[in-house]
Amino acid sequence: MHSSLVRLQQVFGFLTTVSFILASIIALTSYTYPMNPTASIKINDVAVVKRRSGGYYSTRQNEYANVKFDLNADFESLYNWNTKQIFVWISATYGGDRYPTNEAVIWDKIIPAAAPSKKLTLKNIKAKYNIHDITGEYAHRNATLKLSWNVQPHVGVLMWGGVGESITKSFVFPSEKARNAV
Amino acid sequence: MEAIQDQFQAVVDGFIDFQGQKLAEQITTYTLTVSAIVGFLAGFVSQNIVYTLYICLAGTVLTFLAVVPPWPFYNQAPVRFLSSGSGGRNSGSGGGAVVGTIVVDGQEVKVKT
Repeated sequence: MHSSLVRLQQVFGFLTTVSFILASIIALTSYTYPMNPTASIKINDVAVVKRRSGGYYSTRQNEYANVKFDLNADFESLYNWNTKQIFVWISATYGGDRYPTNEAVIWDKIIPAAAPSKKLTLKNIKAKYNIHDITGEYAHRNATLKLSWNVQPHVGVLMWGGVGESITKSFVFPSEKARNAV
Repeated sequence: MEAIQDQFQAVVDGFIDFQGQKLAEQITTYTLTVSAIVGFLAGFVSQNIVYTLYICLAGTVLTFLAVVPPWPFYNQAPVRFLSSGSGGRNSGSGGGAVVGTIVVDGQEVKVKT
């Protein structure tokens, strides 16, 4: 530490050590908070329509499903001192003959820590994303909706989870253009 | 001209003595560690990570300001060398001739050639 340059390097070197340890401890504190958000989803309406897909000039036709639903959720427990924002999404899970495991996101939302309320009460909203199946048709398959979340911390790794009680009763994709109440 | 160059070189180098180096290292260790601990506790207790950030940044700036420049209190015990003219007599007998005494850790030590 005899010259200014050496002292500069020494202080910076020790600073990186301290910062890394501090960041690790902050990241570990995230795991001490219980994260058990609650949510319930009620499906109001499911519609399947046929639309042209694959671009402007394509003549290929796909079936698209659109869902209207109510959502009541309380994400308060996901917020602690290390939460920057959370990302929540609702996905539809359904089976199939050729491709038995399918999951598609129909709605999502980012709620920053600065948001005034961490509770969501959404009435009869339309899914943000029309989903379509890889085979091009839904063919009366059973599906369920489920809410999942990510916590983006200030320091640390992305945390993942799902709300178990948010899983809806299974519903059936209706025929094209027909509508059925669930 | 050379005097100005030397002065400029001294400012750039910022040499400090051995006691000062020890002190500078201790100050680095303690201020950075304490600011990290205080910052963590303040942020954790208030559940606001911004406090942690600012307290640690303040501690860092303080440490750089306190340690990097060659402040006068780092040069309180400069090394005093024996003058080059004090020795030089060589009697040739075993063990050498005593040419003076210096103080090491509070004890007087005889210096032989």
